[in-house]
Amino acid sequence: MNLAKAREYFSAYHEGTLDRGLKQQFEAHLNGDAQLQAEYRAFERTMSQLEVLKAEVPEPDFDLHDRISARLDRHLLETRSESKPGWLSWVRGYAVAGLAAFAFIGFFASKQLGVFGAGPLVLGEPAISIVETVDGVKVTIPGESSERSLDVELVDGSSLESTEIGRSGYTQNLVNRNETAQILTLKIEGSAHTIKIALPGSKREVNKDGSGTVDQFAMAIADKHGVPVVLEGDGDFGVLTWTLESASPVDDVRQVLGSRSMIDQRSGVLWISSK
Amino acid sequence: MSGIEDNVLVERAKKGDRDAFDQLIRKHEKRAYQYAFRLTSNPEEAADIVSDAFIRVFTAVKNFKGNSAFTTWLYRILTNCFLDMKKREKNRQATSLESVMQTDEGEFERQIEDDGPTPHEELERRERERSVQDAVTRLPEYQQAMIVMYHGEMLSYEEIAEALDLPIGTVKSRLNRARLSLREELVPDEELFKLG
Repeated sequence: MNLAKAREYFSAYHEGTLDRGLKQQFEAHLNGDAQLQAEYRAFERTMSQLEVLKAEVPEPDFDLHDRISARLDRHLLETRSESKPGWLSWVRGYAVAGLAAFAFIGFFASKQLGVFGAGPLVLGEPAISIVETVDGVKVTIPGESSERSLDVELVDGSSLESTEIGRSGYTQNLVNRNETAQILTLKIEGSAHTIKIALPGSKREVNKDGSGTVDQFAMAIADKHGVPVVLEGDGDFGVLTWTLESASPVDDVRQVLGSRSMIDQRSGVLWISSK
Repeated sequence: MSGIEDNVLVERAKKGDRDAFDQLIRKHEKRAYQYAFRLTSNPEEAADIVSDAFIRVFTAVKNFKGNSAFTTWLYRILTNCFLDMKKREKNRQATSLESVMQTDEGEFERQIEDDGPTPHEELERRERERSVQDAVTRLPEYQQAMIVMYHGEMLSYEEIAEALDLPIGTVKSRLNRARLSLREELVPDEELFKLG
């Protein structure tokens, strides 16, 4: 064993992982070579010095999480605007279209309001929040200075609730006790757009093949995947035909609606926005 | 830290659940930052590396097979982000090395001034740490990552091999070479360590 070869074994010898034969050879060389002894002593000091790398590092800034999320949102925004021409202009046009626009902002940036600086998503406005609960969804609309009516309707047009969104806002848990999915419509006074929420039923049995309106499609998705689905915007999808085969609701929706919609999943709710 | 297992969150994230991905970030952002900070010794660069890494994770999570732990995969991505950052730095300025050295001296001087009359032992300890950390940053980037993973993050050889997609024998031999290089780097500082 020459000096160069012996150096290759420094770490293994230090850690005690050299096999017996090599260990004996290494030690024999070590005992008879003053230079190797000096080098190995220096190596051991280095190993000891490397302990300082275990020292605690400073805590990250308090806003590290927001910074990561903002970067991610920006990345998604850029990716989407690159892959779907016209999307960004749709955002800008829609952002002034009334209260329903808040749903969109809630959808893409509910946790990031204000983080985009001078970017297109800066709105100091509140956002409609729809989050999954144990047995349905919780809808929250922040208070406004002016009174506007809110109507929650069943699929046949009958009213489930009619109220005012005042300064105190609106919070309601919506639960579907039926065996199959049901769809509710939220109509907000002064808004050209409606929001529909398909809530999965208790049985969650669904034929994977079907055809019908986008409302019926949303209910099929809700039942198959057990996920609340929000339809947002007023796009006309016509009659749809579907075969639900994916394990992911996002993929199933993408398969049927393709580029005619934008899809996202947040807080356990699947959002489908028409373009 | 959330109690939900990584693999559950990863599966949900694969299906497009942004909340699940958000939980993954919250679970691992601090550890990721610590690793990045140990590599760069710079809070801004560390935060940039972590942000870049999570964007890459988000983009690639659908392809994550789960053959290794999520944390191991994250280390690989963080290391790649660090290597890419270093590559960009090298391309940007040929004079960067000089400016780094100047900054280091300036920082040391500022440290003494800012902290006021520091106890002698504390000063020595800091200088020893700085000396080792500086020596580590002078290693080739790949060796640097390995040293920090093993000695700073306390990953095993197996975990490093998985994170860097290298055979374990290669990891061991490269780490040995990195330590030998460090020994050479640290020889001029021997006096300093004798004081401690």
